[in-house]
Amino acid sequence: MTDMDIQTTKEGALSITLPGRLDAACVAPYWSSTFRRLRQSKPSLLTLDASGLETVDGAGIAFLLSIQRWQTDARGRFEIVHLDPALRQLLQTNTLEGLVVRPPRKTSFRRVAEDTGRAGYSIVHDIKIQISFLGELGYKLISSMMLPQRIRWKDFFLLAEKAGADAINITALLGFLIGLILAFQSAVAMGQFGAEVYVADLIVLSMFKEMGPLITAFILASRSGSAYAAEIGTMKVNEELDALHTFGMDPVRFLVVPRVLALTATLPLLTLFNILAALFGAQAVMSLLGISPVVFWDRCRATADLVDLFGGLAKTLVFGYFIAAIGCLRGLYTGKGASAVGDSATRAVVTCIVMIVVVDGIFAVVYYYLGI
Amino acid sequence: MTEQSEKIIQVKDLTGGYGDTVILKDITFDVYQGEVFIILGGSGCGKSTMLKFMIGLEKPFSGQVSIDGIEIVNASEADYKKALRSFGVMYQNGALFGSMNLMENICLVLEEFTNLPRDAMESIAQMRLNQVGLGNAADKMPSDLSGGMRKRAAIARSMALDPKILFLDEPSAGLDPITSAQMDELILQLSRTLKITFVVVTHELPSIFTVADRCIMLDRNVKTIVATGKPHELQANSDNSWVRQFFNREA
Repeated sequence: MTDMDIQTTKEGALSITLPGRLDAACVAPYWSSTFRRLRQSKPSLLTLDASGLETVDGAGIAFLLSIQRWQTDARGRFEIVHLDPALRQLLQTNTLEGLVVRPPRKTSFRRVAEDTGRAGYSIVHDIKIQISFLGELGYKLISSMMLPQRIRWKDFFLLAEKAGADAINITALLGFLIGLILAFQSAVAMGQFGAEVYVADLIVLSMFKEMGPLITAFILASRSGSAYAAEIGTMKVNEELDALHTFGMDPVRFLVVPRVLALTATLPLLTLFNILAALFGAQAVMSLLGISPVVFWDRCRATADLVDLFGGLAKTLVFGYFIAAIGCLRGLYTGKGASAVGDSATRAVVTCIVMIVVVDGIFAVVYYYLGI
Repeated sequence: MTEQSEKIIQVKDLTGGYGDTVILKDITFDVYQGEVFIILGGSGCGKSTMLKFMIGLEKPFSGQVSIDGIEIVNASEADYKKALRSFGVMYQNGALFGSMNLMENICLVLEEFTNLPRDAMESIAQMRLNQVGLGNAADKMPSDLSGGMRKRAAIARSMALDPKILFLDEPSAGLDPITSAQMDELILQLSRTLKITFVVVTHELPSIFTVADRCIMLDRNVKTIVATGKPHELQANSDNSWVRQFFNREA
């Protein structure tokens, strides 16, 4: 079987003897070498000799067409000799028309400015959507509360079970481990001053006020927030939301309100479990370090303050509202296709986490001024 | 033309179904190189299941399927992979990858199986898109296309690696009569110019009469082939009354 051969026949003319096989498996090296040679020599006449050509597939046809196109674009002449009539017909029926050769994008000041502008606009637009959605939701939530018999309580209990009861294990486990780690780390440092016994104070304060609510909110954001975005997003892709619309059923009232109520109701309870598990984790470490459980729990009781506890739990009510609302919002604004559902779930988790931290910061300021 | 061509697909004594339910039994037929072969039948008769057995997505209870000389029912993974290279499949809704545009959808397949430079892959992809009449939609996302365009794009993608056989699952389902006729025209044109063998699952009578060289007809009640032949012959003189009913659209 012949191999490909490229020769300059006379001034400005190039002759290529095509190989026996031109298919996807072997055309790659020919492709690069031919075009390199064409760019170098820019022939005014290009002759392809197809006398040895036996096997051609789509890749081979595309190869021949690309050469032809290149030569035409360079305003040179092009001919193929000794070509099998059936192959010639294939070449004539196929085209590369419409192929756009995109130059690699260059970084320029204009592009950076444009990208920045677009990104800025989309962020502002996004915030606007979130604010108006939260407002709409607040209004519908209150009006639903006025007519509690219109709320879908069956959905509410199912959702509360899924988001709450089913999440107890993971929340408790994470709480236990965090308590364990926190106690161990602080005991090492405080041990230097002989103050291990005050680890209990530290755990109680940090878990009640900050860590407990935050960790539980993060768990729910990644567990339920993303799930709501994916679920409602898939419903949107499957036109189920349109179906709700045409029945005159408001998706916010029908889908979002029960979810928001479910998360707002379960997040404080889960936080309690999380805090309790963290205390047990801390107690396990303290026992290993030689502090008796009686002393540990006594210190806990002395430090524990209902104001701290309820201050923390009050935050979780707001966290729950935001997690459910943002998860549902992302679902409702899902684009088209499977990847859009994935994008929505990702954006839901990211927005929830940012929102949780922002809201937590606001609470810290408010509590500071209230003296809590 | 079919008599002198060679058999490219052979199905022999195939029996299969899901769980304990037998959906197809004792199916035997051959598909010849270069023909447009149609598997037809009413809803729920196992047409799509038949297709899944033929492309190796599901395993039959017993029997053999050989594609281009490779027996695929109990094939080793390497053999099955070799068989995969000889055919392409168009799924009912196209099954294009939603996160990529059409050009990328086709190039993905080429990237996986060849070591061609990028511009070569794009040339091949553009050629395939031109072949199915979607030359100016290369940078469109699948979600921006109509149902008919998505199906054609899926055909372009399944042709990326020059299959000898194309399996089409309901190519004209859900399309308007004109788009459906264009689809038939595309099948005929690809079959004529590229000599691709087509195996088409459908129950649309107009397209059966337009494209089919031969067809087999499955029936839900007897779970096997009730008729084999050219559609016009079956319509005129099948000895099975149900087959005549189907072709003449009698209730």
